[in-house]
Amino acid sequence: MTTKTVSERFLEGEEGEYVEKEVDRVMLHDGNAPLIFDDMEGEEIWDPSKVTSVVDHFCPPSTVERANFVKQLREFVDNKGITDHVEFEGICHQVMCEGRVLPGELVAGIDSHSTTYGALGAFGIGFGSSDTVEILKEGRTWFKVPETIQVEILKGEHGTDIALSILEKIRYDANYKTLEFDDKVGLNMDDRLNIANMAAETGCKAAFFPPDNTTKRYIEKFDNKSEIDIPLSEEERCLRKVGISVKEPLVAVPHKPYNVKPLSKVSGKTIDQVFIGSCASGRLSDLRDAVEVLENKEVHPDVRLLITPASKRIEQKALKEGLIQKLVNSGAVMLNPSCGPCPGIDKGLLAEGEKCITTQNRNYPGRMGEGEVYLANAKVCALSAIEGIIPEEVSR
Amino acid sequence: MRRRARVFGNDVTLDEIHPGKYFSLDPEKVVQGLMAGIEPNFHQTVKDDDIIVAGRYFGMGSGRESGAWAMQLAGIDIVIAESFSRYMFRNCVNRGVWPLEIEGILDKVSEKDRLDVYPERGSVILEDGEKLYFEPFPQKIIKSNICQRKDDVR
Repeated sequence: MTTKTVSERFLEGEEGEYVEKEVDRVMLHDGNAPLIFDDMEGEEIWDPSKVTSVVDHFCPPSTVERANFVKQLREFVDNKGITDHVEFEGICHQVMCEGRVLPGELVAGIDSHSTTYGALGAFGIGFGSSDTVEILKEGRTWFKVPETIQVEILKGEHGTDIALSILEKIRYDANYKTLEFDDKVGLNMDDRLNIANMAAETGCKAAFFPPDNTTKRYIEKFDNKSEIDIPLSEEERCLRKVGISVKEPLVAVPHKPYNVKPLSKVSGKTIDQVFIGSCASGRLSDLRDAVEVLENKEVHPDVRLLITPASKRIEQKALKEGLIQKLVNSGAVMLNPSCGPCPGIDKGLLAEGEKCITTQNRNYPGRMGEGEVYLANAKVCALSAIEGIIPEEVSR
Repeated sequence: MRRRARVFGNDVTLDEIHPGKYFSLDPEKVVQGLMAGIEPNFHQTVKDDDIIVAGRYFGMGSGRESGAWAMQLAGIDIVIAESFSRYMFRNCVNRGVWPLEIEGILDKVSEKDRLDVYPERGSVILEDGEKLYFEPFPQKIIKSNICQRKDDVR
């Protein structure tokens, strides 16, 4: 019997083979779901109990057209019998990772950052709207079983820096492939979610952290009944092995997430806006990092600091811990958990010529309106907000 | 099929192929967004027989289907690139647009060159007569997606 890679186990086929496979769960959000309404008219969903619908892009809506999308989504879930519909609960990928996705599941999301679920030992794969229509009708779709790139994480203190280092090394070479992580650092779940999310920028089909005790402890917070039975890799068959060792904070400069430089090479640039949030970040450890840097200091008068907790659950924990009080005292503007400025939807677009440093995952041209977007970890972002420029270093 | 090439470069991201601000269910607005991140009035210059030719990694980033939909609406039925993002490839197929992968195409084609493209046979004849080959699609995918979608539009 030949041994199998993780992708071969999840998709039940051999590398390179086209297979049809059932999915365990589907995620819809208001940003892309409107494109499926027409095609789903008169169609039934194969199993509405396996579908989650999240309003996070237009949350709350900033135009009448968007308000109509959200209204239509509510009508859609009612008509189709989907009961798991949430609004104002948080950004879809974080919401899915708070008690919905389980290790070992194959999850189809209507969004390119569905790779995030790999942090939990699931296989999260993103789809466009037409593919999602077929999945909703049939509960299955076709896949080409991807090859694997193994990423050994050897050193690094922050998920964002590790992710940026991965993007720098791999660029788009993981297009159509699976990234399988070997966590030698003992990362916490916030960092793993951050890395599996930003891995999407390599073009990978899935990004997988083999489940371990960190996974188990995290899952048990939401569901203490679930036994973790995981399809682990049986062999280290891979195209390439990449070692990641991060020694200093990194920054991705415009306009590609893989244009990565050490912080010291980017310092001094004047910043107009700082955004800590998006599905890549805005988790409790990011908010703690921001407080550590900002406490008893003030945001530079020429800078606006916008912060979005990734979910309502995180927001409430941050309230309880006193983090939000401290952030507001320093001059941060708290936004409700939602996508907001990251894809240039609302609440923080850039004017021409402006610069923003952010913990989000993308800095493509036009991503955040006009201007230039720099990607960095929450501490670097918080310090930029105080100094009004990208700092030279972040003291420990 | 005789076609006219509209040429773009390497690493064109979905945010350039279809900027987020054109996201809509109104076909008029969606088509205006086509390639607007690079050439704001591109859609107005598209002729019936136009196709897109690009380099490596066409459509990286977002998985929004609006990019492929905008091509469908503009009547672009073929994109030839050296490689595609997963999302762009699948979304094109699902919108009745042929995503054809041909190594080295970008260096061999100039803006407004005439090409003869045979997606089902797996070949392209360039303006200077050179013939290039590529792997044709599995028939099953052609029948269930590309042909069906074409009928929807035309």
